[in-house]
Amino acid sequence: MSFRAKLLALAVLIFAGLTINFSGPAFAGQEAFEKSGGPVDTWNRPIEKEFVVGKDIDPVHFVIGVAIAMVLLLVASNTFAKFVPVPLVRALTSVGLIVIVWEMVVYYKLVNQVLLPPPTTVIIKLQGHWAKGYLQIHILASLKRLFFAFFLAIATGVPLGFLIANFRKFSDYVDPLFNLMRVVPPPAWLPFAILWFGIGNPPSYFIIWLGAFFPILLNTISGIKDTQQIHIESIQTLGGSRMDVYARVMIPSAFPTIFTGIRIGFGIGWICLVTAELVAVDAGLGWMIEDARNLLDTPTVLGGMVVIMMFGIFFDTIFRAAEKEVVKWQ
Amino acid sequence: MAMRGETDNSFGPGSHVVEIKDVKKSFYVYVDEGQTVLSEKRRWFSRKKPGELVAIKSFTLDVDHGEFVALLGPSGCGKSTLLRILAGFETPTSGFVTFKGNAINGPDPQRAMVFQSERAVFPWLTVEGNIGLGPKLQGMGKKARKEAVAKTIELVELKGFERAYPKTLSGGMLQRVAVARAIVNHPELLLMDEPFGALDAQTRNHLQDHVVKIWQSIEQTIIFVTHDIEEAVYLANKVVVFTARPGEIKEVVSINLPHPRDRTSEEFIGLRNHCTRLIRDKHPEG
Amino acid sequence: MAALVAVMIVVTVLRASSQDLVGAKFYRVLMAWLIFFVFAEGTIYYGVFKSILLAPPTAVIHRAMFYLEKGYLQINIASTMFRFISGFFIALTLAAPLGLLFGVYDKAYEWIAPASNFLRMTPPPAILPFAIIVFGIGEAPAVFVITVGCFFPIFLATMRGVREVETIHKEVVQTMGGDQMDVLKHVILPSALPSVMTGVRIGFGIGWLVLVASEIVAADSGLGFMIQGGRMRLDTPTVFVGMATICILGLTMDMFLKQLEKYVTVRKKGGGEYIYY
Repeated sequence: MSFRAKLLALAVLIFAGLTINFSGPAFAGQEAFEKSGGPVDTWNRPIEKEFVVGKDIDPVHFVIGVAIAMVLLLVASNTFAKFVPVPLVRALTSVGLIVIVWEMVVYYKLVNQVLLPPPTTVIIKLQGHWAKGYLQIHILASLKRLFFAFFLAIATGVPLGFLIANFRKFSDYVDPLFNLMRVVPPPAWLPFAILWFGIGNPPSYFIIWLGAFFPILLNTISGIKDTQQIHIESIQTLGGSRMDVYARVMIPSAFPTIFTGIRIGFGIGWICLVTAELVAVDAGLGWMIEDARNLLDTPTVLGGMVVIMMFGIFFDTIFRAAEKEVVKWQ
Repeated sequence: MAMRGETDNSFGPGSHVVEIKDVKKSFYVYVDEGQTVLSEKRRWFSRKKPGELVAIKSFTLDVDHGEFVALLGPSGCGKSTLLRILAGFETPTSGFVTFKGNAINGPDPQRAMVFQSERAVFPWLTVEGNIGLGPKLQGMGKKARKEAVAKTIELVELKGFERAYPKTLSGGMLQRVAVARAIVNHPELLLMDEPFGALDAQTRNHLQDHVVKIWQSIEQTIIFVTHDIEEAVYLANKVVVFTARPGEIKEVVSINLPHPRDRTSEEFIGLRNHCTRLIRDKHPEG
Repeated sequence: MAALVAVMIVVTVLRASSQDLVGAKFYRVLMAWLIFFVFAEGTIYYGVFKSILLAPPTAVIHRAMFYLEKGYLQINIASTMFRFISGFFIALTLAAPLGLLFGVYDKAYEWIAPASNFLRMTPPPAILPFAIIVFGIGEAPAVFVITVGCFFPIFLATMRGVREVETIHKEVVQTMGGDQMDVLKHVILPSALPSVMTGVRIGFGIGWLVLVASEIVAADSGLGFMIQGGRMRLDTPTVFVGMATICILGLTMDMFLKQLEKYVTVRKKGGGEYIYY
């Protein structure tokens, strides 16, 4: 794709991310959900959160199944090394080992079931939540928040970073403020944000934006400051104007660093999302976990953690793959 | 591109392409926490007294159309500074420089520059992209651009590498891209700042032949900075020998040997020795 | 008090001007701060902002002095710092040796690296509710979560640092007649140290973030708790006092870390990094 096309695609993504939050209900029953103050089913009846759907999973079968899966994967990665990536298999094996040990530890009553429910219970709980749509509601709420604030951070961070890096006067005025704000961890702003915006989405937007903004800003500044004089002079000697220097040299040259900043910003925004959701909202994965904790519903707590972790891995992988594509010239 | 035989000498007052008159270039020197810093301007708020570094003491030269001028001198004698003044990146402290009769007002594609580092080539563009950027900035259409780029790529013998990224190219190839990038705009004046210094000897000789070939096929005025005596004598028909800093002209040596030159011939070695003596000798002659 | 501040400012300006640090920039920064304070003070005074939303600087300073007198601020600072330092040091003592171990033995590294790249993506605050269930409210969950948060950056950075040690240096020591311990002491540790420092710095940042987060969510003392309490009482000056304290603490630790990093690594001209022994 040409550079312009990529820039256009990025702009479309940012625009979409910013507007998607305003485009009506994100899931069926959202209005009823918001009216009733809790999740509802398709007939607008409130859903209870405590339920188990389907049969119990027998721990013994579970452990054996996981063990067999691990062995199969190992064998496959050895013989079909091309199709099955070895690091992935190794990771899955380590995780599998942990799961097996975990299950056995609880099975043999070494640890209290309330404190540490076994994987089988967690899986069943999660499956039940998913069946009733409870899990999806919270996942969607979390993701919507995250992406809106994240794209806002990109939309503010990159231009601001560009201005700060290029215009001394601007940076002299703005820099001290940012240097102070940067050291305060976004969660510290939570009470302040709640005072201003109340409980709900806005404070979490603010906190996530804070978390993602600074890595993006700092990396943009550093990336643009690192523009090599020789490249600037090259384009000048080819007849480039000031705008050409900005658009054709500074931005492409800084792009890898900016992208790394975006990736890091996403990670920190993710942490801030969870933090904000523990305290300041009324729906979302963090809220789900905190609510479950209050009810001592440990399987949901752990299940929520696992879901959060998986999303984190998923996004990080996407970002790294995208980064590889973007940085192919380095 | 004007080929050899069709000259166009109709510039303004004086028929020289470049006129350099009595140029002096000096910098202010400040010491910040042990680091020596060169500065163009005097600092407004400082209580420190700056030192003065004279890069070029006094330089006068006229360059005609189609000449191949080598600026030869030891490191730090100001030759690169002079080239940058010609390119438009710096302004002389006193004296003046004209290009085709007009004052120099900043960088311009008609005075294209090839830099010393092969990293001047933009790493985020392909070879095609790099070479085509100049025409694109001048507003050339896509089709015309493609043709110009293809022609230039053939001239520097990089055919087949159009879509390669600089990351995959060797130093010599990168410098060829840099040269192609500069000449695709048909500049009146080509400025080269020790372009082959970082390359190994074989590649250097190969590229020197390239430059000569280009110079012979298009009518190009070239000003070439180097500290390599043999390179200067091999390439140029006018070698301007500098003194050590502060830089001044020691002597202008005319070289009339036909190309391709034989590095082992008597005349070549004689001229080379002459230049070597000029450089080694600490006191200016006469 | 004001006289002292005035003297400090004059001294700073004099010192800075003799080192060429005073320039247009200095005055712009000063202007920026003056504008900020006047704006903050003025908008509250003239009622532009409700006094809940923003606290005028004078009120904040007043409250801060009050807390300092009563010792309330000191207690909370101590509480916060205690949690942070314990969490951080536990993480350090676990992560650095483990990182070293896994970095040195290739087989172990190949098994642990993919898994830890996965595990590191868990946001520590997500672990907080679980930790509260297990440990109850108090010091333990916060310290636990901070430890987890600091662990992975240090662990991964140490591993990477060890693995990026140049083989050529190891071989040099071996030709000098050194055994494994010597290679470890004289090559691996010094070469890996800059990487470890980077990991420490990142871990520090994340740990600080997690600390504040856990204090706001679930603690009974400390700066985060103080801020949250202020919010619930609609006591905005306290909120700002807390945030300003966190900011100052953060800046101090940042400076301290930078000094430490400078002391530990000496950059040689040309890009190589060598350790100051």
